[in-house]
Amino acid sequence: MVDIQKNFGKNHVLKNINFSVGKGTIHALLGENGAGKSTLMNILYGIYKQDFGEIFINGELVEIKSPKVAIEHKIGMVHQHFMLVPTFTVAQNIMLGSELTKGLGMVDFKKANREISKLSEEYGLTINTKKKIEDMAVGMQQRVEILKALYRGAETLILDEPTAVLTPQEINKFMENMRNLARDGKTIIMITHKLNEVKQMCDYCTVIRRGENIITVHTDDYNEQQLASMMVGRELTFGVEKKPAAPKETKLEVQNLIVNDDRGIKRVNGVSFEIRAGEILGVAGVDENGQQELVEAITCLRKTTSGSIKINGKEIQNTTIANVISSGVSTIPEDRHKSGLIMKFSVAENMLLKNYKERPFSKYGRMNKNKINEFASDLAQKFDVRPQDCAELPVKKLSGGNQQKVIIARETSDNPDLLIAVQPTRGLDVGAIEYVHKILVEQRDKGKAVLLVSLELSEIMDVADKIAVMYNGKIVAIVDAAATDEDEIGMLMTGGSKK
Amino acid sequence: MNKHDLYKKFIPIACALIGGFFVGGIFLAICGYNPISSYAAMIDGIFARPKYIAQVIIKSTPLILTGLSVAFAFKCGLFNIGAEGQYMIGVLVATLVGAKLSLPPVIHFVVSLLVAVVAAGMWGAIAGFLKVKFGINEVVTSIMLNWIAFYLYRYIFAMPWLHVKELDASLAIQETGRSTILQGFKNTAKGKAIIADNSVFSDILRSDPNWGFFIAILMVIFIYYLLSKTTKGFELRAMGINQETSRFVGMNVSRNMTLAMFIAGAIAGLAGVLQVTGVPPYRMNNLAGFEGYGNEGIYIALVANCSPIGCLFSGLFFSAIKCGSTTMQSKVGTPSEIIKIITGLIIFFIAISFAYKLVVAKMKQKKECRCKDDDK
Amino acid sequence: MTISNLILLLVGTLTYTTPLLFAALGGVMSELSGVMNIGLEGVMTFGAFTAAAFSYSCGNPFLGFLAAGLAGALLVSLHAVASITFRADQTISGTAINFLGAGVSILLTKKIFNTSTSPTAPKLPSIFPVWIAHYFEGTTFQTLKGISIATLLVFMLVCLLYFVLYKTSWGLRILATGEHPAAVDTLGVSVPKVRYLCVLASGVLAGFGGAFMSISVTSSFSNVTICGQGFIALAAMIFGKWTPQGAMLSCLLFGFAKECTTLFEKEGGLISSSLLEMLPYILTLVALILFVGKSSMPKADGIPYVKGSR
Repeated sequence: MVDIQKNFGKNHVLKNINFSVGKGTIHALLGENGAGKSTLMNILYGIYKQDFGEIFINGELVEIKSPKVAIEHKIGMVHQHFMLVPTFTVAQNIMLGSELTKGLGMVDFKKANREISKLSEEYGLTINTKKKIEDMAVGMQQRVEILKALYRGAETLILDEPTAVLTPQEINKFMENMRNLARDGKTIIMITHKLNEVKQMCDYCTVIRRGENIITVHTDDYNEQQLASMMVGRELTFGVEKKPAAPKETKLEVQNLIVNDDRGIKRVNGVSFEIRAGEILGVAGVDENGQQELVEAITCLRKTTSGSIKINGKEIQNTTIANVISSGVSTIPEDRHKSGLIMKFSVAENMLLKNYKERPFSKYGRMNKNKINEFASDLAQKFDVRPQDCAELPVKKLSGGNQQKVIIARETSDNPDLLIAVQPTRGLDVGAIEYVHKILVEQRDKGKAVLLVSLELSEIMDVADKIAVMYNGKIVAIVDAAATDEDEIGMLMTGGSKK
Repeated sequence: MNKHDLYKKFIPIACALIGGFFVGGIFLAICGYNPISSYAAMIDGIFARPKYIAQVIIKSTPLILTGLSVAFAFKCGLFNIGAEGQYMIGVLVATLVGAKLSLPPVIHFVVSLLVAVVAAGMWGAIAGFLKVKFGINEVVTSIMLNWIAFYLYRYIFAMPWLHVKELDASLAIQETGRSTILQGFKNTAKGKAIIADNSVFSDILRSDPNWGFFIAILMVIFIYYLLSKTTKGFELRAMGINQETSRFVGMNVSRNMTLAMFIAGAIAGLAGVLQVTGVPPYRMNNLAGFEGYGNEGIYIALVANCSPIGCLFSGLFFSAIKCGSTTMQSKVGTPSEIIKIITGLIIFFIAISFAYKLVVAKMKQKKECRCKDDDK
Repeated sequence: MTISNLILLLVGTLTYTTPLLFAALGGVMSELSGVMNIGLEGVMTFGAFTAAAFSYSCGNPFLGFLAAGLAGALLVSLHAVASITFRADQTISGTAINFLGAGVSILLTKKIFNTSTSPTAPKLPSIFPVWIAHYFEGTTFQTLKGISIATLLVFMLVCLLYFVLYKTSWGLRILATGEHPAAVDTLGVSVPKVRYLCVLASGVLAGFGGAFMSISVTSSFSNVTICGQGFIALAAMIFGKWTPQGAMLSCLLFGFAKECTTLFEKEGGLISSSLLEMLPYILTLVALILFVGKSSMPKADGIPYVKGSR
């Protein structure tokens, strides 16, 4: 890809990228959020068209106008958010658009199932072709995505953050599969921000920063620290600075909790733990092992089947969300757009989503705009929300990191006893991540109990004092963060046992 | 909201209005009617006499209110397609209380208004409740409730203790229950004398004015205040934009949803009440089909961009062209159905007006890229 | 219940069901591809007008029927362009169609025929050819000839749509477009193309439904020919969980309930008829409450698709 430029309106996402990959290699595309990696690959796959620049495949100039053309050029892409229809089976998803037909346009499912099974055996990606996507684990779903590309004869495979949703063990299997594919002559491009995987798996690495490519290197020649500096353009501090924890009384006590999902299946299967004031408990685990349902139960977004949840000794399960909040629980939700903010409302209105009924913000039902804006400006200053005079701006105009700050400002300023943070740094750049971690530790030092649920193991390792590992709806272990390491947690996350 | 935003919202709607009349004019021309004389006759029918202006105002009342009902529901994230049924309940209950009960003047009217409005509100709340409790889409339930209200209306209409065979209408609402202005007065000697003297006054009185318009204005102000200044309005607006976040921060979304449908129903019911108590013959008539005010509320709300104050102007506007169209039909012969077509076109243009922004943005982008290449 | 009454019930049910089912199938097609279409009422009206007008002018009801389909496609193409290419709010666009359809139909009727009701037009023939009907003349089965040939068509369409949607590759793509358009797009299938085809198909079907009203149930068009059927078809579609077979059963249920009330009306009195007419709608509400399952609405229904969105 030569001299690629791409703009979205005023946003110059890609300025002058030159990117080349050798056949049969595993090539990493490394960069922070918003650097332009996904956009570049979307251009390669035909989802976007570059504003300027050319693409050559095997030395020939090509024009990739759409995914259809990309597929014709034997390019396949596995997206970060899977492009799978949940209600369809594996076979249906793989065949979509290139169906095997037998007369009258009827889909030949028997033949399809056979061929896909054959393909999956060939590449070591075993799969049950008749299963529905929504009934499958995420790691399996990813296999379907890869098979989708291979089914169409992909010679070049693009993967966007492929390990974000895998357990350490699944990641190992994944790396093995990729190496096999590369040995077969397939060219693999991996978009990632995970430095250890770049080192372990990739032959080459191209670093992109703010839409420009900085350097392309042989990964063996550099270590992780160096790669990280190249990625952000400055020295990166690893780990979070914090004093040792000094926990006091118990704030949250969960006993024998059982929670079912909408289909009546047990998702939290007898969980017990406690969090004390002044400590951070991190819940580690692969996605869909019950963490979501656990948090929903604590915040009363979901009914429990049995067991108790106590805040300061008072039972709060199966009451109302308002009750949980007034009992001293604040939550930073996983999806700030969906459940954390009202995008069309102003920053001030968002900051007061919980206390708009209190004096002086409203009196006898009438809201006092001035007082509300004043309060918001104060908070914006305290939490360094940019731009500083954003009180009346619609919150959707803020960047992701600043939006998260608005939520954090709201959730910490009413002085909760328990602060729950679910995936609080998702989609944020390194600076914002640093900030969020700092706040969590700050809250803990102020004497709050903090429950951190995250799919990023490194985040849990850095921030938490204690780590609870969830597997299959149970807590399989609670360990001191200082006394364990990523390997052990990784084992526990997949049902293995402690060292 | 500063001036710039206000203009941003006005322009697409103004364009849609102009576009609707323009394309409608083309359509008229194709069908052999003269658009210029048609539109001129329409304007004549609106402004030529005080009587006409009075008519426009009087006839705008139900439109303003059903528009307000739908607009309010939209702001709360709900589609009140049930305004038609709620309107009918309003008419029904107001007639029952107005015709069958005897109360002193003013009190009679106020009581029948309150009872009917609450009844219509409950009718709307049914759809809200079903959505909250069972998750059933309010559009489906509202459509069903519209028809149930329709047949309920007919059932009670046919009751011997309400039906007047010769007129094929119900009993009339007693004078004490009506919302007319100076009706008794204009028939007294003193009244007749004043009327003979003053032609404007006589024109207006002869078109049977009622308090409806003023009550509608009060309602518009009330809803405006409710939505933008109160805590409850804050909650309702939040629910309308993002239910999930509203729930997450502890708002009682279930209760608010039912409340919103109650209010929307009450407003639509109010439209019905004011119609039957304010417009002669002050009786329920034999409905062959839906009267249509409820459905018209939908486009009134859309043209008003769902703003309460906008509904006031939207209602007046569409009442004007409706009144004008009857004059147009009688004077020039152009069928009044053209209004329906123009309305449809206006709605269509509003629908694609949001997309217009995308087209403009794309064009801007192309321009920028060309400039960038020139720099090279 | 005598046999002749049962037959009357059957014929009446099928008569009520047919136009509803045409429109409901149209709704299913459109929404399964992800485009909400609440403008069915307007399309039916326009189809009814076109059918009556063409049938009268050409003396041929079949031409009228086909013309109605084309007219439906024409009107609905506005909605398609607005919703798909311009990504407009599909509720608003659908409402516009309702007004346009009704307005244009009545205005053209007044213009062309100088009355507000179109002149009597030849009707669609019965399902039974004349010589068979003749054979049954005088027997209890003679009312069966009231079943129109269009009824046969609509039930065939149910089977056809079922086959296409669940057994063929096109059906797979349609279903996928309504659930996860991004997945379809990244596999090289054009989302707009699929949606345009489905919306146009829904226009044709709704047009047929309207035609049935004006050249089969009645033999002319006026402003009361289509009165709510388009909306009931929507309810039938939702009730039938967005499947052709579900739509068929829902429409049959509605038709049956409506026919029951008509029969009762004849037997009973005028007063009770209004209460009975409420019955189908109350039944639907009750059924919705009882059979509340997780919504099977196509996931991307009503959401305009933007390229590159995740």
